[in-house]
Amino acid sequence: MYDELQQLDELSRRKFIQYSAKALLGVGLASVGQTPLWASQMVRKPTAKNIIYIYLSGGMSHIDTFDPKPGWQDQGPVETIATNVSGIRVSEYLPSLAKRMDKLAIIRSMYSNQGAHEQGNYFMHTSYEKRGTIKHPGIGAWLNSMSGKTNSTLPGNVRIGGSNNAIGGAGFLDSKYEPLHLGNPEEGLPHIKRHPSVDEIEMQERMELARMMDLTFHQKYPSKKVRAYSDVYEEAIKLMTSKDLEAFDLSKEPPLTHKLYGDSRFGKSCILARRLIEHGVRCVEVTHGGWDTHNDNHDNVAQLTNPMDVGVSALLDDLHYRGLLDETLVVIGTEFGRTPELNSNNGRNHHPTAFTCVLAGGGIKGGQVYGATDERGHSITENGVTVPNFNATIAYALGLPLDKIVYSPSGRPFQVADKGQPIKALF
Amino acid sequence: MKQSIFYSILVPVLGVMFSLSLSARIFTSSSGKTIDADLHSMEGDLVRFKNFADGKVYGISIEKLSVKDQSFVRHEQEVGRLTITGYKGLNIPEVVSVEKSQLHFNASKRIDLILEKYWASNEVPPAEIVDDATFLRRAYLKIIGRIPTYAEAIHFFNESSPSKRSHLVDKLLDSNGYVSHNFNLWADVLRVKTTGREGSRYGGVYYADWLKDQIRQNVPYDEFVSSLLTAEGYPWDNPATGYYLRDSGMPLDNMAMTAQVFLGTQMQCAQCHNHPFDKWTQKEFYELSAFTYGIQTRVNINDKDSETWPIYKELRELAREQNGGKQIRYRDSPVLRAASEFFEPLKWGVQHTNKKLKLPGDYQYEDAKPQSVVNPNVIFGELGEGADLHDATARVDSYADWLVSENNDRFTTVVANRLWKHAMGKGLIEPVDDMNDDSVAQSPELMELLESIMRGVDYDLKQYLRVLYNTEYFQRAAVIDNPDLDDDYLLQGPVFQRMSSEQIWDSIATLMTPDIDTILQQSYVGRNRGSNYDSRQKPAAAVYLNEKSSEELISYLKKVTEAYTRYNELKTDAAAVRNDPQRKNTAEGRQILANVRDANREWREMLNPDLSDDYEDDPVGMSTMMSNVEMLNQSYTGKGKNGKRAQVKWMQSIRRASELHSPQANGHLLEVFGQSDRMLIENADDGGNVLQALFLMNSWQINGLMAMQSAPVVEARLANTIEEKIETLYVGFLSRKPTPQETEALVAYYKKDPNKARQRIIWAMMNTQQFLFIQ
Repeated sequence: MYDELQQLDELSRRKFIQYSAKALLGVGLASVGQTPLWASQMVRKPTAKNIIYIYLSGGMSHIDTFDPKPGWQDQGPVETIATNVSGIRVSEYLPSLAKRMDKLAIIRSMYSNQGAHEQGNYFMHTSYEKRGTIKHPGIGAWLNSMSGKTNSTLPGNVRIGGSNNAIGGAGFLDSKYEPLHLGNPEEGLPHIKRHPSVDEIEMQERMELARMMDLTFHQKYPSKKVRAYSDVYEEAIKLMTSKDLEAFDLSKEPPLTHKLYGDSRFGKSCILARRLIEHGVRCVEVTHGGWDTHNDNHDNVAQLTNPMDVGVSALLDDLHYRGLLDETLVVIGTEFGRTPELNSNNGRNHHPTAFTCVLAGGGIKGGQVYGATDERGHSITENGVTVPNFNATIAYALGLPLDKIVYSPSGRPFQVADKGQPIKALF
Repeated sequence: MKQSIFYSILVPVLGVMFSLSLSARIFTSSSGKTIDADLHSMEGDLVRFKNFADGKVYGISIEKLSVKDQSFVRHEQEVGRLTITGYKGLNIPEVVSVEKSQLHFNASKRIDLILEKYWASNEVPPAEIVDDATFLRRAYLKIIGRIPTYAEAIHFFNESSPSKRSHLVDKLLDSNGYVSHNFNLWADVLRVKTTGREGSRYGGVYYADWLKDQIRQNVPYDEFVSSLLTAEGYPWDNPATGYYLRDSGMPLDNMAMTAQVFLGTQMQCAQCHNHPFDKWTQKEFYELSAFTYGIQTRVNINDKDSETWPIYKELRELAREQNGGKQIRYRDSPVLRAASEFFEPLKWGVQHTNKKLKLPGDYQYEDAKPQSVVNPNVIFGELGEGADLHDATARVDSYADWLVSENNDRFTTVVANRLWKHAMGKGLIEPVDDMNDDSVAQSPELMELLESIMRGVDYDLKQYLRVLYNTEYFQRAAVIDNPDLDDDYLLQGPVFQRMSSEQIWDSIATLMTPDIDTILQQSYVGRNRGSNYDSRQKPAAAVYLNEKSSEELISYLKKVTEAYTRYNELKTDAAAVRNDPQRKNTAEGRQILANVRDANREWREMLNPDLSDDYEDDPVGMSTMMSNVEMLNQSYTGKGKNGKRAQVKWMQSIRRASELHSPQANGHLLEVFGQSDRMLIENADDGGNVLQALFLMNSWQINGLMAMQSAPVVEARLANTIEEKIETLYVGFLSRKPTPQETEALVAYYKKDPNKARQRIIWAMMNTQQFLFIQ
C-alpha cells in the first residue's frame, strides 16, 4: 500500500492519509472484546489490558532507591534492606515495596541520551527525541487509538497531577486521545454537575430551545463539524448521568483504603487511578514530582519515597485483591538517574547514563532484577535497556503492533516505540 | 521582475480619506438611539459630542444619555480625563491606519471578476450575498476576532449608507481588535510563548508585546520578517530576538521553521536524510542552515569579552578571599552562586558569530564527507548583489535580504495565500506551509493576482486585507468544505468554519465587558528561577550593570547573597515540614513555612527591584472592568466565600486572549476550545470535546454570569416591551433579530416567568451551534 501511496500526488496522498488515519483510528470501530483492528499485525495476545504509569518527574536517584550501592563512598546515610525475594536488596526508603518484591521487575540498566528534564521526559514518554516540527503521541494515546476504548462512558486516557504542559499526549493522533488532565485527584471532573438553578426538566427544555433556535442553521449547514457537536453534547449528557462518574468520587472509598494508600496527594491519585481502571479507563498516568534533588539529596529522597512506597504498595495489593493486577501493567518511570557522586550541596546531578525503572503486573514476571550497574551505579555492566526498548516492552505487554507504521497528518511515518524491541525476559 | 498586474491598476494614487472614529465606545441615548459621534468635552451637565460625519460639535444633557453611558461619562469626569476643554480619552496606543484609497476597490473588483470566470468554467453558482446581520457577525469575527456588541450591531443596522459594509471594514481594520486578532494569527504561526522558559529567559514576554506593536504600527511584512531574521541583542533591547531564542539550542529546527513559515517549504525531513517526497537533499538543508548557524543564543557572562567580565573578576577574588585565600569552585561559593542567579537573565541573548556548521558524523551521501564544513547557499534563486558570506552579521543580512526579496516568489506566494486563508477560511494552495514545485493553486489566475496585489501594496498586510474584505466574495454565504471529498469546494464562497478558540473566548469576554478592546494591560509576567521578566521593564541585572559602579554592584550582590543563603537554609527546613503531615499543621510547622515564604520574597525582591516609575495606578480600561466586579459583588447569589472569590478572580482576569498568557494553562477555556499549545506551527484545533459542552451547559459563567450580568442583559432591562427585550438578547448574543416564529414562541413564555425565561433563552443561545460557527 505504501508504494501506491507514494505514486499519488502530494495533496491527495496527504488527504488519503488523513482520511485513513481518522477512519482507522476512530473509536467505535474497534473495541476490546471484538477482533482487534490490528489483528494481522499482532505479534501475540496482550498480557495487559490497562496501564497505570507512575511518572517520577525530575529524575529519581536510582542509587538511593532500587539500585543501592552499599560499598560506595558517596552512598550516604541510606542503608540497604532485604526484600521478600532472596538475593535482591533495595534501599531502606522502600520498606513496603521490599515486602512486595515478588511482584516487581526492577530494570537497573536503563539509559538515555537526554540529560535535560524536558527532553528526557519527552523521550521517555514518546520514544522519540523532542523535535520542533512534530508532536509524538504518548502510550495512552497509542493504546486508545490502536485498540479502542472499553464500553465505559469515561474517557480512555487520564492524567492525574503534574504540570499543565502535557508531554506525551495525543501528539499527531486525533485530539480525542488527548488525556483528560485532572490537577487535583480530589476535585473530579469540571462542570460535570448541572448548575443548581437547573433541574432535569429545565435542562431538557433548554436543550429543546437550543435545537429550535438552530433549526434553520442545521438545515443550511449540514456539516460534519456541526454534527460532531451534536455528538459531543450527547456524550457529555451521557457522562453527566453516567454511573461511571462515581469513579471520580474518592469519598466512596472506606477510610481504611485512604489509610492504606497514605495521606498524600500521590496516595489519593493512586486510589483514583485504580477506580478509573476499574471503570474501564485504559490508561492512567500519575505524576509524582520533585525528584530533581540537586540539593540535600538524601533528605529529599527520603521524603519523596515515603508516599510512593506506601501508595504503590497499596495499589499493588489492591489491584491484586480485586483480580486486576494480571490485566493491569503498573510502570514506574523517570527521565534519568542521579550521579553517584554527591555535589557540594549534598545533592546529586542528572545522570542519564544509568537509571532504574520498574514494572509490575500485566504479565510481568515479578521478583526479578534485569540488568546491572557497576559498583558506583555509574555505568551499565549488563543488559542495557534503551528508552525505546523500555517503551516497546510496555507496548508489547499491551499487545500493540510494534512494527505498524502510522503516518502523521503531514505524511511522516512513526511507530509506537520508534524501533524499540521488547525485553521478553521480563514476561 | 514580473510586471505586477496591480501596478497597472494603481496609477496614479489619490488618497480619498474617510473621516473615521477611533473611539472604542458607541454612545446611546436614553431612548436607545445610537449617537454617531465622539466624546468631545463636558461642561456642567452638558456633554459635548463631535459628529463623525461633519465634525460639528453639539451638546446633550447628561440625563438624555443611557444609564450606562451616564456612569461612564461621570467616571471619566471624576478621574479628570473629561473636562471643559476636552477629552483625553482612554490612554490607548493609536492603531496606524492605512490609506483609504478608492483605487484599491479596483483590486477587490478584479478578484471578483476572476472568481466569476472560475464559477462559469466549473459550472457552479456562487453562494448568495448574505444579509446585514450575517455580514456584521462575520466581519467582526474575521477582522477583529470577536462578535459585535449590542451597541455596535444596532449602530450598523441603523446605518443607511449604501457603502456601510465597506465603512465597517475600514473601521474594524483601524481598531485595537485588529491588533489582537492578528496577534493570535502570528503567535500561532511563530509559536510565541509567554510561559515557561520561552516566555521568561528566552524573552517571550518582550517578543509578544513587540509582535503586537508591529501589527499596531502596520509594519510591512518584508520589513517585519527581516527584523526577525537579523535580530541581535537581548530581548528587552531587541524583542525580535525572540525569534531565535524561541528555539534556543535547536538551530537546525529553527531553520526548518523559517523555511516552513516564510517559504512554505518543509525541509525538516532533510535534517536527517534526503527528503523522501520533495526534491530537497540533506546537503541543501545544511547549506541553508549554514547562514544562521553562527547565531548563538547562549551568552557566556563569564567570558572575557562579556559586559559582566570586570564584575566577575572582582567577584572571583571576593569568593577566594571569603574562602581563606584558597581557590574555590563556582558552585561552592555562595557569592558566586547568588551572582549567577542575579545575572541569570543576561545568559540568553542573540549574538552573530562565525561558528561553522559541519555535516553530521553519519552523513551517508556521496556528495560530501561526514563532518565536513558546509558553506552557506540559498535554495531558490540567487543571493543579491554584494552579498557577504564572511562577516558574521553581513552573512545574516545577506540571507535575510534574499529571503524577503520580491524576487523570491515563494515568499510572496506564502503570505498572500496565508492571508487569503485568514480572511476566507482556506488557502488557494493547501497546506499553506508545504508547497513544492508541483503545487497548483485552486485558481492559478487568482493566486497570481493576489501575489501581484501583495507586491503592489508593498507588503502592507492591512491594505492587502482591506482589498480582500472589500470583495463581494467576502460578502457571500459560507460554504461547507468537506475534507473527505476532494473536489466539492469550488470557491463558491468563504469556507464555513468553527470560531477559533480565541474568537470564542474573546466573544464571551465581549458579552461580559463590551469595551474589552480597550483593556490593553497584558496580565502576564514571565518567571524563571528567581527572576521576573516583565515587558514594561528590563531585568535588574541589565539595568544595574549599566547604572551602578562596580563597587555599588558588588555591595548589592553581597546583600543578594545574604538573602539567597538565608532562603536556601530555610528551604531545607520547610521541605521537611511539608512532607510531614504531623508537623505541617502545628504552630511550629506553620511558622517555618511562613519564614521560608518571607525569605523567598526578600530574595526575589532583591533580584527584581521595582525599577519603573511609570506604572499606571489606574491602568487602561481597568475602571470599566472594576465596575463589573462591583456589580458582581452586589448581586452575587452563590454560596460561600471561596466561590465568590473565585468568581471575582475570574471576572478580573477577563482580557482578550492576546493580553493573557500564551498559551493558556490546561483547563482554561482557551485551552479547552483548542488554542494552540504553541509547540508546533499552527497547532490550534477546532474540534469539539466533552469538556466544551460541559462548560457551556453547566458552568456558573454561563448559568450565572451570562444569564444575570452580561451586557445584553443589562441592555434588555432598558427595553420597554417583551418583544424588545427578546430582540435585544438575540442581537447581543447572536447578532441577529429573532424570527417571527421565535418571537412568538418566546413571548408567551417570557410573560409567564420573565426571569426564568431570560435565563433559559441565554443558556440556549450559548449552547447553539450557530454561536460557535461563522456563517
